[in-house]
Amino acid sequence: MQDSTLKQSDTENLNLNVTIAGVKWKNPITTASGTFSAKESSAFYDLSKLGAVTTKGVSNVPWTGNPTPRIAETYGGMLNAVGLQNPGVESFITEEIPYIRQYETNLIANVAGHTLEEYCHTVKRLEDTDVDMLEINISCPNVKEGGIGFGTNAKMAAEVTKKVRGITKKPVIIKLTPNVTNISEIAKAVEAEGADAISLINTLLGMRIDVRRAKTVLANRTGGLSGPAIKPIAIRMVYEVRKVVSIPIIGLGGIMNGEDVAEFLMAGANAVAIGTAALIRPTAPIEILEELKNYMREMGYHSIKEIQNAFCD
Amino acid sequence: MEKYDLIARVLSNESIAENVYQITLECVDAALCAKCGQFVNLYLKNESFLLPRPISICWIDGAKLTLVYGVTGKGTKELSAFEFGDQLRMSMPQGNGYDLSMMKEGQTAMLVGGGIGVPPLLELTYLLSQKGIKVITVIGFQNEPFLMKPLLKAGADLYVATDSGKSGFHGTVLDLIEQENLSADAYFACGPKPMLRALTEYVLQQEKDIQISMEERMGCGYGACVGCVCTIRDKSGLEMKKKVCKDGPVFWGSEVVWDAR
Ligand SMILES: Cc1cc2nc3c(=O)[nH]c(=O)nc-3n(C[C@H](O)[C@H](O)[C@H](O)COP(=O)(O)OP(=O)(O)OC[C@H]3O[C@@H](n4cnc5c(N)ncnc54)[C@H](O)[C@@H]3O)c2cc1C
Ligand SMILES: Cc1cc2nc3c(=O)[nH]c(=O)nc-3n(C[C@H](O)[C@H](O)[C@H](O)COP(=O)(O)O)c2cc1C
Ligand code: FES
Repeated sequence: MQDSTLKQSDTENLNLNVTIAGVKWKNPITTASGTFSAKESSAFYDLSKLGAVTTKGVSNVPWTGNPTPRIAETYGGMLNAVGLQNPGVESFITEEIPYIRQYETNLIANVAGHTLEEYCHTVKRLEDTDVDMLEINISCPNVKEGGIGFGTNAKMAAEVTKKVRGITKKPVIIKLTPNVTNISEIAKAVEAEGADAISLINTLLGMRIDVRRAKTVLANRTGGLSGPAIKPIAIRMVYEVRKVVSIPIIGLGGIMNGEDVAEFLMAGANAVAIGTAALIRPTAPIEILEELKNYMREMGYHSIKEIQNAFCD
Repeated sequence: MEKYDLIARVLSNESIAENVYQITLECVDAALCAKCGQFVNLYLKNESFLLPRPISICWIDGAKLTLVYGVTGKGTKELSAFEFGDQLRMSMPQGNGYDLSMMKEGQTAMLVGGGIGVPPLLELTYLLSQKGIKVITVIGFQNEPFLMKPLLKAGADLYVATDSGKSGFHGTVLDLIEQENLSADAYFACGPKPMLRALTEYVLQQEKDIQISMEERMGCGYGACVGCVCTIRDKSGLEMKKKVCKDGPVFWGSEVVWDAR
């Protein structure tokens, strides 16, 4: 890494701080839920370097997820149908939180549920913990009931937001799905019910067929498409949503390098999350951070604010 | 455990059987940290192959790491074109290897491999024979055997089977074990699922321990995505899905739930 050679000018010129829903991040980079595991990722890099880490979706009780194969490669991306396998909120509290707390970074817990009650149970359980922010996943395409069902309907998205907002003091980020025709309508609805920030986007529903075996590649048949292939859609959605909400947006979807981060910032994001890139390159989140700094130096930007909202009229 | 995301240099890459290649990489960290039964993630140059290709560690010699792989698709096809001096990105070491701690000098181990599951048995054969353990290595192939010489050199008492009957015993490794009346104190295996299952059932009937290396389609290959699970039943009977890349790829045969959905 170029870390050491560039450190001096960092402290002199670059201000990477951002504040998301009242929480100060040392830089605008977090991990995307489901593509990061504190224990496994920290074997490759120091988590303290990131503005925040976002954990895998956690539910009220352990979920076993979908059958395998759960992963398929596609041109420019991948499909996953993990189905939110996770050990449940109790294990999250005893295992995951203390582990992440060894590092100097913000902790965003991504919350999953099948029903309103399940979301509420998990949110309540996390209330007295050391979690800094909650990200409510109302957009997982791999969970039959709940999940995406909440995210594709403005009324239901608003309802989840209202319920969750009512039972926690922690900042609430609502993670939206791109699998809708009118993203602005949903974004406005969650902002109106008190969402403190929005994450955009979750995966797009996709499918692959093995034509030699005439079988679907994923056991679940369909899965969520992520990676570079979805970036233009994510950029467009951040751009559209920026025009209609004033709360911060965490942009994600196909970020592979520092310039991709700049693209999201220009489209209107306040911070970004690195997802699939970290599966391809375990150190991607911190490498992309270095690339962002290089981009800023090269372009003469001194702060994240200067890059933001280039197209918001 | 600290892991490395590094660039290795290709020392050689050559075909050793039809559609099977042996690649040797110069990689100082490999020698320091890799254990037999673990694997590496190889990242290809063509960016349309986004995900890593997991390949087992076949042989470690100082700073040289040897892998043996079958050309089964586009990614391994690309890999087969790498030449001396080329650079290859990989992350390692991944997964848990075989547990050799319960093997004692004078005992017998049986190592059973099928097809592209044979390579990881090379380092294992060597390590066990170094410990003064008698190693019976039984390997099966569809048609053309490979790695026989290195296995013999590593100390194997070698038995070979082929489905086609082209060389060695005509039949499966299990048929061969039964016909030769081979037995051991403990078993280690790597190969296709049906072989692992039949062998595990056979070994458990004899009330012996078996460690098997499982395969599953992987996303990250290092434990971040929960893509690669298999179902494991723990001692209390509780079933859970474990990550093959992180909790495995080696599991106790007695823990694996074969018909799980
Ligand atoms: C822990 C582990 C260790 C492995 N060790 C070795 C090894 O030492 N030598 C070796 O030759 N192969 C090994 N494999 C299998 C190897 O990873 C795949 O053959 C390879 O990824 C195929 O890549 P491809 O781009 O050529 O194939 P693709 O074009 O992606 O697919 C071609 C075919 O390969 C199969 N395949 C793809 N990925 C996997 C996978 N992860 N596991 C099983 N089958 C797969 C597909 O079902 C398909 O039929 C290992 C797999 C795992 C999980
Ligand atoms: C394997 C995998 C698992 C995921 N699991 C979750 C999850 O648990 N919760 C969630 O909100 N999003 C989940 N996602 C979606 C990602 O957080 C992200 O929104 C999406 O992958 C797009 O970003 P990317 O293209 O950078 O990967 C998952 C994505 C992948 C690839
Ligand atoms: S491949 Fe990602 S967890 Fe195993």
